[in-house]
Amino acid sequence: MLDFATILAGLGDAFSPTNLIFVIAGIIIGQFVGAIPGIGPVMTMAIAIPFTFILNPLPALSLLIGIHKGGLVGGAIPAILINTPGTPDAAATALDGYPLTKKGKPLKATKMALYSSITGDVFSDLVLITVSVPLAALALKMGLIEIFALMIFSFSIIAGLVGDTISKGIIAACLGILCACIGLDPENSTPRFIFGNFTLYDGLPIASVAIGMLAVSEIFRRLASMENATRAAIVIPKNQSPEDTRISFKEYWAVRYTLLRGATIGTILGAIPGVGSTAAAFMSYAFQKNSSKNPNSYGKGNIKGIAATESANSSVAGADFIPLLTLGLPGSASAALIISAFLVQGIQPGPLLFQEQGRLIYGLFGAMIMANMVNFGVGLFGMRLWIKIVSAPESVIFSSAILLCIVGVYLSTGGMFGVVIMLIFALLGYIMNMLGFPTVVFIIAFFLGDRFELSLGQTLNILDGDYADLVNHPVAIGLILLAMGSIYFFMFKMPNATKNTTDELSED
Amino acid sequence: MKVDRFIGIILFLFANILYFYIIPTQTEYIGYGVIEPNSLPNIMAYIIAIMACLLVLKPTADLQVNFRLLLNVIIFVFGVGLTAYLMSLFGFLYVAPLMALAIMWIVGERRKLWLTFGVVILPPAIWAIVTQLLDRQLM
Repeated sequence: MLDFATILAGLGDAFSPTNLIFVIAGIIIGQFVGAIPGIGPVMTMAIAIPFTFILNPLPALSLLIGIHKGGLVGGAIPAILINTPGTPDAAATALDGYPLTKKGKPLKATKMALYSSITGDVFSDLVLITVSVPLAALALKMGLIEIFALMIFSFSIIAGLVGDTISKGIIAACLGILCACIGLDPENSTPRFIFGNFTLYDGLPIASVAIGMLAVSEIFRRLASMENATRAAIVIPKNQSPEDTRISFKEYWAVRYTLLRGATIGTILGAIPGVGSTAAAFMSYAFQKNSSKNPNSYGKGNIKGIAATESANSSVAGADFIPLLTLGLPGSASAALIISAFLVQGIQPGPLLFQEQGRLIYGLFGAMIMANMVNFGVGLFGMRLWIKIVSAPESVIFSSAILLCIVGVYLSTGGMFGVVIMLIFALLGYIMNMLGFPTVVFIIAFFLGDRFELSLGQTLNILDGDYADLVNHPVAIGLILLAMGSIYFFMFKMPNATKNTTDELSED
Repeated sequence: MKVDRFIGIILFLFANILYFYIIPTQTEYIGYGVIEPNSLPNIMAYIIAIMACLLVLKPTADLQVNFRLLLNVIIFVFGVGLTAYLMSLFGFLYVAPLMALAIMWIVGERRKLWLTFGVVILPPAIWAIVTQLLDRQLM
């Protein structure tokens, strides 16, 4: 599919000094924001996207990937130290991480989280690099009808897995597609829903919607519910024995199967759109606990608990890219933001990416590998600094984050109109979250709206009114049946299953 | 009444307004091709209406709405909107520190060091990075 020279050129781009600077910057920012409860990599990626407009595609994507990967490592730190996960996927890490801190071993716990995170991340990146090219080749063989059916199937899975109920997930997806309809329609180029405002001809600005829904709404929620802007400083016990502050190779080797199992679970779940790293972390933890000879030790500071959760949640980061790069379908908020970064750079994600932008893709793979190495180094040397960051005041962080959001959107949209849209979507995002409608599904549907409509038009054109012709597309029929089956499952079977799982986890 | 039932009724009404009023007035009729500009919005309106009915029939167990928090968020949205407007009139460099001070003060920050850092250092630093380093024009 790709010649060796393109692969080498891409890897050469990735390992260039300029790109290395952006990877390092992304990792440092990511670990920094991950260590602060409430900000997280998704919000930071949303804020950073407008600032990547001026960059070339590879440094821009490298910066975002660095933030994402760094955030996954950083998120474990407050979970372990103050029992407050910096990111939702680190919630499971707190189950055994915080008890270890209470036992006076915070450094040991954070180091195990770092090693496990890097192991899981490397594993899933290798899987991504290995399987994405053949999968993209397979995707290219799919017809337009099959791709449309696949989009419906993906929406049914994402809508079912994220949010309170599938009905709310589907409504969020419909609202996202409706918002994507604003502006010129992609089939006939006629204006829709512009209400006499010609600024809306080009549609809603992607950066405004993404930043408003994913970053500003969360900042407003935190600010509105904040009663005490200060946190207690973290105290690391002095004069500890080396055994309590580090992880020896023997200890790392002892958890190799836990790491491998966690990474496998995370990679498999990460490749399924909508499942996400939080589910992967809890599932890996549950597997680890159930397969243990001493399950009662979990939740009381068992180091294997940290290894299981961190390897799983970090391995989702690489696997997330599998549907994104091969099919152009984002499966999570961070993947949706990466897609928006592709779009603002004028690149359409999907299987053709490997043919048209092979050098960029291999540059991206190279950047991911490099990011893992940098993540390890920065994590190892910056650990003590991040531990201090955990107690930084949210008031300073959120006030400057709001300013960055305004500046970022102003720069990307070229005026105050984008800022107004951002604030509208911040309020909408807050209300949707409050009522249990998943904003992630909304964002993914919004990004895919144009493609969905074009795909619908192409499908109807091919069928030309003869719906019986669908019989000649068995894969499409299969995918539509799967979509219907998953909707039925999530609507009538899943509520009970979810409840049981939640109960079990809360008992843990 | 459960919150989900109420939301379901509102969404059902919204879908009807969308289908009968907004879509016909805000889309054009083409008359050729397999898909009209209103086709996809109409499909979305049908689906929202059906799902809204399902929400009414099968609400989630216990959804609590914190109206005080919602009001606070609305105040923040309007406050930030107003300061963004003021920025467009008087410039980022003059309004941003005041906005940062207002936010920090409202959420209870009283420590002089952090207030100085958040008000005197950070906003001008953002301004300097954008206008001097990135060479982009700011309001």
